[in-house]
Amino acid sequence: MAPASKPMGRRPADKASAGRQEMWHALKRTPEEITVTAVAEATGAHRSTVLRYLNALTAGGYLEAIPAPAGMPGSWRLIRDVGYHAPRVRADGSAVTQGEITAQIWQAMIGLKRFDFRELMQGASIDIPEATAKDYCKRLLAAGYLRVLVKADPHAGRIARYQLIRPSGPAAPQIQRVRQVYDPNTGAVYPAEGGL
Amino acid sequence: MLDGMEKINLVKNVAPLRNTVLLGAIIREVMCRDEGMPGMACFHGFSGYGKSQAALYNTQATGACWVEVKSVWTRKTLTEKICLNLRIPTGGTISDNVELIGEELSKSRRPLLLDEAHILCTRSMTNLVHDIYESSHGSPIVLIGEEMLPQSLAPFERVHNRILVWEAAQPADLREVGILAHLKCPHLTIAEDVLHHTLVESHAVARRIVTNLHQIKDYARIEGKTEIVAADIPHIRWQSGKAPAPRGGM
Repeated sequence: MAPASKPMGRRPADKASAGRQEMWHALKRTPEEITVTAVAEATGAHRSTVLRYLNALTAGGYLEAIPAPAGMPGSWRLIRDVGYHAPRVRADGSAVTQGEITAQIWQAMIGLKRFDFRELMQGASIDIPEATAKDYCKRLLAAGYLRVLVKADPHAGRIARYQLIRPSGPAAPQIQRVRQVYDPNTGAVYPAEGGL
Repeated sequence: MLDGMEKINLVKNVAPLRNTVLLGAIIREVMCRDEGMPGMACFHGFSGYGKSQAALYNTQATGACWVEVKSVWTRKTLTEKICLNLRIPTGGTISDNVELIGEELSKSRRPLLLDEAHILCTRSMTNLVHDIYESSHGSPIVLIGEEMLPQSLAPFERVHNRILVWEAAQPADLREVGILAHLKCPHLTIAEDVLHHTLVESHAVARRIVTNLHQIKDYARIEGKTEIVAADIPHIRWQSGKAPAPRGGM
């Protein structure tokens, strides 16, 4: 059994430490000479974590590696600045799509204000599985984000309509495995009641 | 032009409505404009034509920053809301915020969509929009608003002559009624005559078409029908949007 002091795996989103966003800010402070040591010191992240992100950014065309003489640490240069938000890239430099579906559903909720799950799917620019849209509504309802306007009535062929009553910000609330909803806008955590 | 597009089925849930495609084309035009051309656009049309629906889809498709302006907002509130929607920290003052917004817009290349832009037609607000445009080095800004938006903008030359495209939202046509019927009542077969009557009763306003399709759905459920034909037209409670006439003898 693993010792209790060192939990395995990734921590939940609401307990995460300095991540790629912080690394991105740290490396933007010295755009001409980015080193693993400087970024690791500024953020407190592990060197291998920093190196992995710098390599991914290089593969994605955001950084350029500056060759160093043998035995000296390498450095990078920022060649594509995309603003405040850290680029979400995979190891091979392609864009991360995880979280895209909930982001689109949330944006549709903010835009429509009153909706049913079908309208949320129709307001998105990507394919959203019906079950995902339904489930996200259900969990946000349990966490107190939504109010039911019209109750679902299967006999009348009617689906539930909701109203968004807690538009906390532009980032989509995340459904966590630990049966709670984490709001990245405020950092608040809401229990998803009802034994979902 | 768009006939048969519903069969292409790029993304299965998106209705290929003209206004959605039109706004997408405007955004593309402003983003890919030639050097030295102005970088703002105006999309205007009557209430209920589906402008905001179009804005929603295009926000998702282009990663734009969409802000719905409210009439009570001050200049500071507007800058703070744009910062919030860009998910960047706000500065202390309006000028700080304008600089931050400008930097983020120009670096991230995200277009800015301002919905209900007719509210911004005052001297101070149009100056603010102009400032944001200038400090973002000409990032695309699309103003979306009421039918009279171009006329309301006319007195404010600084913004007015920076607008590259003026585009009016289009009323719905029969093809779009068919698409909406397919989306909103997927289990019903509705005859062409009924769709045409829906279009006429709704005065080609997309929002009323949806309301009337809902009435058709209710009627079909009560009568237990899955097929609506021309003979059903007099029995459906159409909503034409007219205020009811006063009753006599009171």
